[in-house]
Amino acid sequence: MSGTFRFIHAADLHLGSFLNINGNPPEVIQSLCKDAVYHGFERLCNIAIEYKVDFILICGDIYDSYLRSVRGNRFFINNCFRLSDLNIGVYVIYGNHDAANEKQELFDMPKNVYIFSSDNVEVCEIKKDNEVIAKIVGKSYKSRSQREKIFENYLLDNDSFNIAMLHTALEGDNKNYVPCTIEELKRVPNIDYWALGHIHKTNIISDTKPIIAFPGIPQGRDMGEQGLGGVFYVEVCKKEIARMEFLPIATIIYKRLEIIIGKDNKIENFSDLTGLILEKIRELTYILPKNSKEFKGHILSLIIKGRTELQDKINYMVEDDYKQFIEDINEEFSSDKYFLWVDSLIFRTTPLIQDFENLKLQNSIFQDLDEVIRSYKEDEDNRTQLVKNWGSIWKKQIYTENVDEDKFDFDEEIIEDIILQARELVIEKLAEALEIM
Amino acid sequence: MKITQLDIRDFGVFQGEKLEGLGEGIIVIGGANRSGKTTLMQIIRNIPYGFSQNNLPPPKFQYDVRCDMELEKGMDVNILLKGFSNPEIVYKNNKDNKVSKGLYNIDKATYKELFTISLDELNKSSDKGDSNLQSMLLGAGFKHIIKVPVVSKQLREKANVIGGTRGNPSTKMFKPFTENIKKGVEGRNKSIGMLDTFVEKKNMALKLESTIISKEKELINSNNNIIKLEMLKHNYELNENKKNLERELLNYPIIPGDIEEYNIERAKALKTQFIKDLERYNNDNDEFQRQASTDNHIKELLLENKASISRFYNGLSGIKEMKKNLLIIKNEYYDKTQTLKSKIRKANNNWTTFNIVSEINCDEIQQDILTSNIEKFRIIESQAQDCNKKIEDLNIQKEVLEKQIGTSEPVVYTKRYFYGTLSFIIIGLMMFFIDKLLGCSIIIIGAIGTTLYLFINYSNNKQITDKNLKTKDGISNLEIIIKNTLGQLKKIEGNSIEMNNIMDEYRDILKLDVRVTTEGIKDYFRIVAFLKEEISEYNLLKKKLDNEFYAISEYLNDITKLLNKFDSYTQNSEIISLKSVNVDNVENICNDILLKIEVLYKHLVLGEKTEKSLSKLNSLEQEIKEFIGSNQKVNISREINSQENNFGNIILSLEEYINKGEKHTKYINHRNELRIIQDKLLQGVKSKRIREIIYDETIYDETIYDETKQSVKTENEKLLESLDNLYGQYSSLMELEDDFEVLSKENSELVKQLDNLKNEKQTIKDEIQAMNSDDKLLQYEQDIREARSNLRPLAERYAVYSTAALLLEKIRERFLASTKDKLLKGASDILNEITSGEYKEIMPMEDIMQGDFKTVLSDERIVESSNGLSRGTKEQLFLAVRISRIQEIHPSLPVILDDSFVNFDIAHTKNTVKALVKLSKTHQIFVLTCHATLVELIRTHCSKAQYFKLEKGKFSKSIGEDLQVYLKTL
Repeated sequence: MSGTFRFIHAADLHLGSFLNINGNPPEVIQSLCKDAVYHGFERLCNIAIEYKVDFILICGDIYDSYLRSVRGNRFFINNCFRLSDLNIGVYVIYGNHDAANEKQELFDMPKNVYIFSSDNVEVCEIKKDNEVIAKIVGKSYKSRSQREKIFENYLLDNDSFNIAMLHTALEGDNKNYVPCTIEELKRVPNIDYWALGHIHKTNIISDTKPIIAFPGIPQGRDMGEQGLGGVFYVEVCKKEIARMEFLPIATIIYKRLEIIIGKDNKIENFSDLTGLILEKIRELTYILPKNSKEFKGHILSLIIKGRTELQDKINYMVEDDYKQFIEDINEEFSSDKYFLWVDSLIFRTTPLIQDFENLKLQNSIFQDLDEVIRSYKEDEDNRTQLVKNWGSIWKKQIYTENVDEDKFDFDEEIIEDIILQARELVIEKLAEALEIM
Repeated sequence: MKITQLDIRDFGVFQGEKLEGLGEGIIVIGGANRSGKTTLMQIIRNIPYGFSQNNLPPPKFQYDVRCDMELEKGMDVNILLKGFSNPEIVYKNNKDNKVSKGLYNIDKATYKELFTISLDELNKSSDKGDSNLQSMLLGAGFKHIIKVPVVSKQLREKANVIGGTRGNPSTKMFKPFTENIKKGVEGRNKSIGMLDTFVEKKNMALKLESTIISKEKELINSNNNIIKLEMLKHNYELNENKKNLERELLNYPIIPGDIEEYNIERAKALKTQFIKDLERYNNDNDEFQRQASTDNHIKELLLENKASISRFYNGLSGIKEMKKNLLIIKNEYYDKTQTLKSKIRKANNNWTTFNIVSEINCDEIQQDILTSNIEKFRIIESQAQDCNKKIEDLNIQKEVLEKQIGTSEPVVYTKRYFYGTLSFIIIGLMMFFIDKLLGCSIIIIGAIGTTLYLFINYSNNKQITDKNLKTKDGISNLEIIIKNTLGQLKKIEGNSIEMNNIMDEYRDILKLDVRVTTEGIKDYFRIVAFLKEEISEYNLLKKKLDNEFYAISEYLNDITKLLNKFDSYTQNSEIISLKSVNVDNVENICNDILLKIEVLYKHLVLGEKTEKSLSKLNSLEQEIKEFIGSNQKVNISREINSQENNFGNIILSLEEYINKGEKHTKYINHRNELRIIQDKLLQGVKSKRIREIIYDETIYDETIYDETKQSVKTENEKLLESLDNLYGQYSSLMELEDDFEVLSKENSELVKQLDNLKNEKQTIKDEIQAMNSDDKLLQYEQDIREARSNLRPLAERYAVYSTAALLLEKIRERFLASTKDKLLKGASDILNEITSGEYKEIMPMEDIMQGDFKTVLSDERIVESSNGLSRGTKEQLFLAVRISRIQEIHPSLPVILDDSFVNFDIAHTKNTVKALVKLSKTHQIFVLTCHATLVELIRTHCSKAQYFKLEKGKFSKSIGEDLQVYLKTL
């Protein structure tokens, strides 16, 4: 149909990187993890061919700034050549990981690849049957951070379907990755589709015109990138989006699995606990992702919570015990069709007998503890003081493409978790010192 | 909040005791020691919390205490304490039972430490001089805060072990992992950094490649030049030789039309041959003249008769043989004559001459007939003998047979039988009479036996008779044979006579005696035949001898004729006459003639030899002339004066020819040498490579017009010319070598450069290759992640420990901050009151946790430490702090004082009581005492106080006075 076209919106390929997996998984899994990111892009191209799209948008971070390699570069270009043979265009803006000043293409790009300039906002016209069916506007990152509100210069007429490519954290106060808010984007006139990149989680910010969406990372690489990654397939007919679909790309899914030991679970020993864990993991296999044909498996991080009489034993577990515990679990799933690999296990359990309320009654110091904790949770300054207290090994990583590898980033969740652990520790130590219990 | 009723059903000393109608303010319970005061305090302490198992007086059965309380809001509460279980609290007039919330709103420890004040507890402080503050704080509920810094410090220490004081990643337990991370990051950055130069490296590789190609070309040129110079250097001497030779050849005068080829070898051979032949001729000629004659005619005559001389000479052996044969035949003839004569005589005396024997006609007698006749004769003789002998034998046989004939009588046997039988019959008959059977038997047996006997005898007799008959027949036969034999004998005798006659005839023919036997006839016949043959042979021999002699005589005659021809030239030659020649002297004459022939032949040979040498010499001369004449116009047309001169000239001409030829040869050799040198030079430059190098060189040198010329030249000429040009560039070997040296240095420099370039290229290539693989990069990343995953739990633990420590510190800080002001302000007032203004203020130390207080006296002096206070003052200080603290806690809880003021003097006790009375306005105060003075003071200052007497666990309501009196009596 005239005026109908299709495209794929992808971002954050991070070619060159590989999947993080702990323990000592079988070679097959290791190999899958090593090449999963590459295979992801290959599948993306296959899908583009299968869906006969007109073009693909890649909204930044084709490569990973830490793991730029000739292999990655060559891989990208070879696949683009494959698309070129079928006349599928590839429109690219560079992001913070592959900023124009920071990198250089090692090989000549095929003709179907268009990389937006990092100096000016550029507009590309997509023609079909000698008719302009769409316009793409975009600008690449010049350096690792882009402080200007470049989208304000995304000026287009309203005579075609207009797509704006932007690599942004979509945070008004973020000075590094194009500070902007949803409203600001919505205020830019005549844009039909905001193809965003940078945030690795799939998210449709606005499902009405203008569409604003992050496709997320096609293939997650660690526990920070959980869930099924993929791209958006968009079909436009007469300037209107006729169909928009999320197409999964990832074949390996990271998942944090929280297992709570409830009152109903009779956990008297470690075999009971293992049984419970296996049961909960097994439940995962009942639901398969959409692309089950190509799906390979899950990498899991287990968090065990709840009250248990095993707490003493858990407290005395050393690293080797953890390893053995995880190994035993992994052993159970070794012959499954879709692999299930537990790569970490965290106990956040508490002892059965401990009754904090009771403790508070016995000694006002425990009440004070709760009040102090509350003050740290609620007061920003206190929180800052708290994190400072963690030492210089903890550092808020502002630049995602340039982190200090010897330091650890933290977020609310981590703060919460550390406080929780500290609270348990304080209670334990105080009870010990005050001879309560 | 106040206790309105206390029903102690079972607790230590109290069994079913009740304290009823308890009001607000001070409640004094007086009693002696061990009356149950402290037990009561323990009950009141535990009312809202329940009894614990430590240090309480035992129950009779089970703790059972019931308590009614009135909350400040006018709300009543019933509390049931049973055993060690939690108190059962029943709120009256209130629908929502807040059991879980707790009655006192403060913890058990705080209540115990703060509201229940015993002397012991106050004394604790004064007993341990150095822990005043601690005691005071214990008393005031700070006990836990004291422990907080210890725990906090422990946690900090634990954190420090992990990450030091500042949690720096590069310290303590973090360090090894951080180092690994740094290594990984370094490696990763290096890998990525290398990537930045990927394109640059690719371009560099290309640039290097082209540089290498151009350098390689340069190197090829340089190598070519080196090869060229090496070749020039190598052949320099050769080229010098060549130049010299060329110069020499230019000096050689080449006569136009000069023959190009001299056959010196042949000329020399001819010369030698000629000299040799000439010598031979001279020798031969001298020999002839010496042996034969100087006369040429003789030579000519000899040559003329050469055929006959040769024939005779050749026949010499023949004639000698003839002569020898003649001699042999002659001797044989004489021998034979003698032998034959004696043989004939020996054979028969009747034969005297050869003729007699020769006349015997042996042909009349045929030998085979003779032999058969003689054989016949002998057979007849033997037959006659045989016949006679046979007749004799037959007669003897006849006589023998006749004697053999015997007689035979059959009748005799019959008789014997008869008589035998008869005798048996008789005997039988006789016996018959005796015994019939026996008799009969004998008769029968006898008859049969006799019969058998007779039968046998009869058979023998019959055989004899037959034999006689046969003998008689044999005799008659013999007689017939004898008769026949006699007839044969007569016949044989007739033949014998006939044969004797024949034998006689033979004897006559052979002229023999009659006595000669038949065998002798045969022998004589053989001898005659033999002799006759011998005689005929003898005759033949004689004939042969004559023939031989004749032939030799003829031959000698011919020779003599020839010899006579030469005799005219020889003076002393004897004429040989053949007329007197006979068989016996022919041998000597023959020898002479033959000797002469031999001499003549020898002369002929010499003459011939001379002649042959001369002709050979002449033909050689002719050949030489032809040789020289055809090759050269050597001047041989000199006049031939004589043969010697002629020969001399020939030799000279040859020598002249040889000289010229040798000169020419030398020229040719030079020329060849030059050619060889040129060849050698060409050999040096002929390899394809050098040729190309030289051509390249000459193309630059040659000018255009030379090209046409060059096309005509052969390739070798071109090469030589190029070589000449090249050599022309160098005036000496030294110059050439210098050039070579310089070029070699340049070349090695170039090789070095090229090597470096190639190495550089390889390095870049390797780098590019390494960049193609991201394995290393991934490994670095993997290392980083591994180190990070190991570091993470440590960081987390560090954070947890630090947070825990921080929380505790915060608790302490908060606690101290919030309590410091409230506590010390109230306490100062109370202390002021108790000490009558002597101590007007309590001040905190810099660190409140330090364990001490400053006190300000009325004159503004400051006691820096509580250690400077008296025991009583110190206890007042603690009491002041406690009371202040009690006032702070809401709702107000019952206070219990167990004889706490014993160390106070009366004035201070009074002041203290005043302070208590103040406090009793808001708090219910149980004062447990055994001192009447205290009761008195309370009576004085507080009118509303209630009094109870306690005696061995029994309460009784009292009034102040009574109690005072009672206590005084104790």
